[in-house]
Amino acid sequence: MTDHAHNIPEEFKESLMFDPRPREEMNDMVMESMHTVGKAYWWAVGILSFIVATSLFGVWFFMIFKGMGYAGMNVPVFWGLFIVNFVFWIGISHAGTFVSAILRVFKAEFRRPFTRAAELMTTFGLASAGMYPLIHLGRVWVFYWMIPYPNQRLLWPNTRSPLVWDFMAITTYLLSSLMYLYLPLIPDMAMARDRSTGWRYTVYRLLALGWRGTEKEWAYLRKAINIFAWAIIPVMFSVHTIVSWDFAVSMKIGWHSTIFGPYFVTGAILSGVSAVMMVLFVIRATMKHMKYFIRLEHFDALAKLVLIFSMSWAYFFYNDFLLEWYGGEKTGHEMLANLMYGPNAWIWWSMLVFNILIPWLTLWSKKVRRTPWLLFVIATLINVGMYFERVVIVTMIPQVNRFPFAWGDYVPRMEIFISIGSLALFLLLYLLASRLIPIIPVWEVEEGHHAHSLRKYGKEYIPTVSDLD
Amino acid sequence: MAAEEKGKWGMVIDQDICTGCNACVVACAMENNIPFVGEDETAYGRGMHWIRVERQWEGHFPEVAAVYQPVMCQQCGRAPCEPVCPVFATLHSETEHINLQVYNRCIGTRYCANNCPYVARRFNWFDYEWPAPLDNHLNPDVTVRGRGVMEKCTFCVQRIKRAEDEAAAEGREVRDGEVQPACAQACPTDAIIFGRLDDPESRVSKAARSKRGERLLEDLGTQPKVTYLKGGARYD
Amino acid sequence: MSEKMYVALFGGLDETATALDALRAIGVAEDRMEVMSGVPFGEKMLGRPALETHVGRFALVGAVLGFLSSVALNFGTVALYPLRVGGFPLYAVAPTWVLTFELTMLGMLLATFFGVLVELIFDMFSHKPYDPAISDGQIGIFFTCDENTFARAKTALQEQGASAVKAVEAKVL
Repeated sequence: MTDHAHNIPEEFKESLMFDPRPREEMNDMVMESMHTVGKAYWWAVGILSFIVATSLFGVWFFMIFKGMGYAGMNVPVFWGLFIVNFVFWIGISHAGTFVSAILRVFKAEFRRPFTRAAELMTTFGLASAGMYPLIHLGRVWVFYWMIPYPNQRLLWPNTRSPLVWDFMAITTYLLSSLMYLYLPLIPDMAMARDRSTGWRYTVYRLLALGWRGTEKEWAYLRKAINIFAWAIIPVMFSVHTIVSWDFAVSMKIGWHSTIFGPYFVTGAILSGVSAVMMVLFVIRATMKHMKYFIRLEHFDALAKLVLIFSMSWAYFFYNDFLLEWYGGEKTGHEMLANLMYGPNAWIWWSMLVFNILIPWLTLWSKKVRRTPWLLFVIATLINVGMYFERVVIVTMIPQVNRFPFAWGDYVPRMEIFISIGSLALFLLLYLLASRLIPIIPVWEVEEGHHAHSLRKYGKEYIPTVSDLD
Repeated sequence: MAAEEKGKWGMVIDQDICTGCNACVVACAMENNIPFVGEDETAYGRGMHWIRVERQWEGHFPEVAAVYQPVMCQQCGRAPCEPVCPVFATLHSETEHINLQVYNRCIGTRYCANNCPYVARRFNWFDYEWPAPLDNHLNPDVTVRGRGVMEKCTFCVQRIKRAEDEAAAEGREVRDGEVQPACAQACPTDAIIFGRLDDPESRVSKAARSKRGERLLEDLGTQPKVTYLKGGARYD
Repeated sequence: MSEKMYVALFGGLDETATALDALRAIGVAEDRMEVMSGVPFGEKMLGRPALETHVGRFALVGAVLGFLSSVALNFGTVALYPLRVGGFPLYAVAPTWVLTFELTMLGMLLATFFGVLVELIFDMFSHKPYDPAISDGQIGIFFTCDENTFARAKTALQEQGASAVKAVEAKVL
C-alpha cells in the first residue's frame, strides 16, 4: 500500500502523512513503545501510587472520619479547592472530545496520531473530576441519595437542582467518552492481540472482542464512530455549561452571569488543548518511536488552536468583567475590588498574564510553535492560569457578598494534599494506560496515509487529501 | 401588607430599640443545641450561631451611631436555597410557610448556603461536643446535628409545632403571643416581635405594616418573612 | 466434493478489487467470499454489495427510551412525591430540558454502542478464518470452494499479485 511513498519529494517528509511506513513497521513501533518499561517508569509508578494512596485516599478517609473542617472552607466560602479541582479536571476532560470528535467531524487531518492520547485524557480527567463531588460532600456515605432509583426512603432527587443535572451530565459524559474511547480501540486491540503472548494476549483477546476486520465489522464500527463523533460534541458542551450553571443559576454577585456557559466551555477547551500539548511532549520525550508519530506539525497545529481559544477566552472574560465593572451594583464593585486589589489580587492578575499575555506574546511565532519544550512551558503556565481562574470564581468571588458583616477569607488546608493526590491519580492512570493500550491509533494513521497524496498542479506538487469516508 | 396565607409566621425586629446585647444569640444557642466552637474557629468564619448581630456605624465622626441588625434565616417565601438542593433537604413547609431544613436528609453539598443571599446558613464542619456540664443543657425537643449537615434558624419550629398541637387539642386557633422563639423571649428591650402574619390584628402584623418597616434584599424577590423597623426619630 | 476455506493476501486495494472480479469469473459466489483488512474500505471501493446496518435504528430507539425516562424523572417523580421548593411550580418545565437532553443523549449513545456489539459479537466470536497478516496491513480475501475450483482460483489470484494463497482453519479468536 505504500508504493506511492517512493515518489514523495523530501520537503514533504516532514509531515507524518507524507512519510508513510509499512503498517507492519508502525505496528511494531507501537508495540515496542508499549513494551519498553524502564527503571524510571517503575519509580514513577511507585511514587505516584504512594502519593495517591496517602495524599488522596489517606487524607480523604481521614476527613471522612474526622470531619470536613480539616479543609479550609468557612462561612462565606462554602466551596473550596475541591470544587476548583472539580471544574479544572472537567475542563481537562474536554480536550479528548474536542480533539477526537470535533476535529474528526471537521476532518482535520492532523488529529490522527493523537486522538487516543487525547481521549485518554478525557477519561482520566473525568476520573479525577468525578471524585471531587464526593470528596466535597459533608456526608459522603449517603452520596447515593442523589441517584434516582426507587428506594425505601420514598424520595427522589430534586430534578430542579443543578447538582442533579451535574450528576446526570457527568454520568452521560463519562459513559459516552469511555465508549468513544473504546470503539476506535477495538481494531488496535486486535493488532495487539495478534502480536502478544502471555497475560497481554489474554487481555487483548478479551478486549478485541474477536475483531477480524471484515467488511461488516468495519462498516458498523465506522457508522457507530460517526454517530458518536457527532453526538458527543453537544454532550461535551452541555457538561461544562451545566458545571457553569452550578454557579450561574445562583443569586450570588459575580456568579449570576449569562455568559458563564460559553465562558466555561472556552476555558475548558483552552486548558484541555494545552494539556494535550503537555502530554504529547511527555509522550514524545519518554516513549520509544513517538518522534515518528508526534511531529512538530502537530504541536504547531495545537498551538494555533490554543492561541485561538486564548483569544476567545479573553473575549468572554472581558464580557463578564466589563458588565460588572460598568453597570454592576455596589456589591459587584466591592467584589471586583477584592479580586483586583484585595489580599489575593495576585491570583487574579496572574490569571490574566498566564491566559492572555503569555500565549498572545508567544504563540503567533511559528518558531515558538515548533519548539516543543517551550510549548510545554507555555501550556503549563496556561493551565496554571486556568486553575487560577477557577480559584477566583469558586473561592474569591464568594468572599464578598451582600452582607459586609459576613465577608471572609479562605485559606486552603487539607485540600492541598488532596489536590496533589488527584493530580498524581491522573498521571498514574495515564502512565499505566500508556503501557497497556496502544497510544497511537495505528489504523487511523494508516488510513491517513492512504488518504494523502501529492497532486501535480502545473509544476508544483500540492498536498492533497482524499475524503475516504 | 395584605393578609397573608393561613399559617404564615413572621417576625419583626425593631432596630431602633435593639441594643446589640447578643442575648438573642445566646438564647438561640441554648434553645437549639448550637455548639460552641471556640474563638479561633469563630474568627475563621465557622461560628455556628444562627443569628448574627451586625453592628453598623452610621454617620461620620464625631456624630457616629451604632446600629444593630440581627440577621437570621429570613424564612423566604421563595427561598433561593431550596431548589438547588439535590435531595430535598431544604424545602418549603406547606403548613407553616417557613423554610425547613431536614437534617437527616442533608448530604452536605453546601449549595444552599452558597445560594443564600443572607449568608444565614451554618455547616457542621466537625462533630462538635458539649463538655460537661453543658451537655445537661441540651434541649430534648431539638435534634443534635452530626457532622456534615447544614443548619440554620428554624423560627423555633419546635415551639410553633407544640403550640399548634395544643391549640388543635383544645379546638382553637393559636393565640397571638402564644408562640415566642427563644430570641424574642430573651430580648430585654422586646425588639423582636413574633407571631402570625395571616392575622391582620396580631401584634407582628401591625408592626410589619409600620412605615418604618423594610425587608432585607426584598428586591431579589425572595419574599422574606422578617421585617426590620428602622426610622430614627420617626415613630408611628 | 468437500469444500474448504482459503485465503489470498494482497498488498493493495486495487489488486484486491480486481482479484475479487477474477474469483467471481471462476464461479465463486459473492456470499462465499469475504474481505478482511487492517483499515476500513467502503463496499464501493471493493466493488462488493452494500451492507445494511441497524445501528441508526438502535440509536433512535435508545434516544426515545432516554427521552421517556427523562420525562418520568422530571415529572413522574414529582407526582410521586410533590415537594415545593423555591416558589417554583411543581411541574416547572423550564429546568427540565437539561435532564431531557442528557438522558436522551445517554440513551442514544448507549444504544448505539450496545447495538454495534449486539450486531457484531456473534459474528466476531464465531468459528471463522483469520490471518494475523490482516492487522499488518495486508488485505485478505477469504473464500470457500472445492479443490478443483481452488486450483484455478490460485493461479488467477497469483496473477493478480497475491502474496500468498493458502488454506485456513476456522477458529474462535
